[in-house]
Amino acid sequence: MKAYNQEGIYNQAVVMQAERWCRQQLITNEQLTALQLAFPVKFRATNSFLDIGMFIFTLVACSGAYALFMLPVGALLNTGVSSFGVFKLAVGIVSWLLLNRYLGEGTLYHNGIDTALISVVVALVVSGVNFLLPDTTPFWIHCTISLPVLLLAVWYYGDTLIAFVAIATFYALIFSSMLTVSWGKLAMPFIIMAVSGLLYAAARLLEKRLEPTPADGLYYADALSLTQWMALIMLVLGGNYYIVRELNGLLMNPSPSEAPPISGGGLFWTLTFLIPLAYGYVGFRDKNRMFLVLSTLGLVLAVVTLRTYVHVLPNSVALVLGGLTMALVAIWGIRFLRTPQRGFTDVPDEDSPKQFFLNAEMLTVIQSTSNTMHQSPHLKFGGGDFDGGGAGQTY
Amino acid sequence: MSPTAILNMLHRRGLIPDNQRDILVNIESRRLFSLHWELRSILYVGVLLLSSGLGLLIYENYEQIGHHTILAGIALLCAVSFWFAWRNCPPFTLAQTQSRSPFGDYALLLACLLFLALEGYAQYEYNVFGQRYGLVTILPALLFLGLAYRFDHRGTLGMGLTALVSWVGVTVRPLDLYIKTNFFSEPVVLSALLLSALLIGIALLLDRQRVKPHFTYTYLLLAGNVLFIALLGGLFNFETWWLYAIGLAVACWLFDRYARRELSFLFALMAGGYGYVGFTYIILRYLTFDDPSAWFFYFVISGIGIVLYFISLRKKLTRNIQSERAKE
Repeated sequence: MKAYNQEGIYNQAVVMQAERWCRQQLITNEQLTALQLAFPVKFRATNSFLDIGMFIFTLVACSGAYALFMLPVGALLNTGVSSFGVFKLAVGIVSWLLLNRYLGEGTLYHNGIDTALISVVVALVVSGVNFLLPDTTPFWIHCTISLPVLLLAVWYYGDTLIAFVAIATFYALIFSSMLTVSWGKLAMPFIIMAVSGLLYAAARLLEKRLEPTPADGLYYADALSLTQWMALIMLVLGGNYYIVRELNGLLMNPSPSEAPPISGGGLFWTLTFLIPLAYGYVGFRDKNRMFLVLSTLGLVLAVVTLRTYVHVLPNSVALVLGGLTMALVAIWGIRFLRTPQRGFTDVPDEDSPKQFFLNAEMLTVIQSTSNTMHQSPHLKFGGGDFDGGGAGQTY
Repeated sequence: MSPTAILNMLHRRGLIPDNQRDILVNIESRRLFSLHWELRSILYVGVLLLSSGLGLLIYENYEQIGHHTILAGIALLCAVSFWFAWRNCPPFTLAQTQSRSPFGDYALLLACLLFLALEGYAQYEYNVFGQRYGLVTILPALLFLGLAYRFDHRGTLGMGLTALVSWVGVTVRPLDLYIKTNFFSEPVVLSALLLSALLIGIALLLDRQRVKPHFTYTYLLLAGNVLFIALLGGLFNFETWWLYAIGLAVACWLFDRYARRELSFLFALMAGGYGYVGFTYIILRYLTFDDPSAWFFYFVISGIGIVLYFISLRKKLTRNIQSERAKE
């Protein structure tokens, strides 16, 4: 038994696919209408900007409500930290029961309000549990205790945000527990890479396992996809020379101002380039967008890493060469794919988040206009600093 | 769930006949993998890196290759990019159109960015515009706005608008969530208000006349943010705060109306967010409660209030989808 109406999620996926076919005129309008009747969706219509707004302001209201409760109860509970924990747990459990009634109506699904309420409930329960522990508890025990609670929440809600926190907690647990053993620092990069590989494999396996029951598969699709993204990112970072060297420097006691070279540098240099290249190979072989995107980003990171330690060119020349290379690769790719090659094409498809790209392009072009206009000292404007009231609220 | 899985399920339940299923299976299995947006993103980032690299390069003096060679090279690249874009320029229309080459838009972008870099350098090194700093920004602003309409290029429009607001002294850096200006000076705030209100008015007018209506979004997004921030700046800093409060209320109302009409909810989010910040500021500043619980109560009530506002918009969206379906 899960929080959201699984049948609704299943029906929604079917109807969305049918609408896609209808737009491509592969099924008729009558067929689409028949399918919409056969697979009714009770969820309310949604829009990402409204979701963001409802998410933020639900959090505002919840914080107010929590503080309102805290005022009288805090005075009564003035006895210690653990009673504070009990209070948080109690509020968390009561709001959890209320939330379930609310979700039980089956009209909300990833709608901003429900996501915010789930986050609040989980945050209350997790922090309540942690407050019950004595002050001296090491960090990794906090992680070990929180992780099952978070995983339970992911199982119940299938929520992406909670999944993100759970994965972050998982890595924090690995990281902090490795620091407690003497060989931990040395083995850290390898452990992180191995764990990431296993995490990715586990997420893939679970995805395959859930295929025969599409209702479950859809329920966890986003969380599992996020897990794969994060595991692959951590795998790149775990093998990256810059990360390994700088982290090693930071963890030294006392920490030197410049991180010294690490032993096994050659191995990490190889991994820095090899892992993104391997991602590229898998991405082209399996036509997997996640691998292709991460391969490109990983290669850019590798080049930046190389330039951090090998100062051969001034910044300006490096930017010019880097930009030129990227532009030429893209131009070659676009020309090469004019006629489809081995199942790849340059024709846009429906899956591409077009609006997202347009917005991102607009923001970056505005940014670089500002940067170029204010590059030379004579063109500066204005005086006082003003860290815009409320800009953060709206983006 | 894969399309094929859905297809088989629908076929099993008798909702899709045999021959149609075979066609669909065939199409789905031969569907090509599109790299369209990936390649364009790489090209786009490449153009940005290239132009900022060249922009930095002209401020560094190189003895061996010669400083003027670099300048001439950049000017030549700028001219060639522009010439390429011009050669592939579509015939002018009031509707949305497209460059005839997949690279035309990027060439224009590169040309404009390089032009800015060269112009900045001309002022820095040779003081071409003297003390008339306004000219340095208004010139590219007008040029880019003209090019944006001629080439139908939203990126150039964004650049032109950015240059235009920086003409009245507002720096916009969206990636840093940052708008900088001297909001303690009332003339700057007023000119930012005037310009952004003017831009919004022009945008809505052009939208009504169906002159490049797809530009409206860019206009409203950029000028709208400047307008709201300037109103908040006025509300926070000046004696006549209530005038700015009224202005803020009117702006919120207008943006809400537009969002409802066009179902473009980013503008409702802006109205709700900026409006909330302004309203809360007034409450916190001018109402004094003794009991702190009154404050918390305010946040509960106001938070729920804004959520209800967004819910009302969502209902509007639902109704719209239903009436669309009914039409089909």
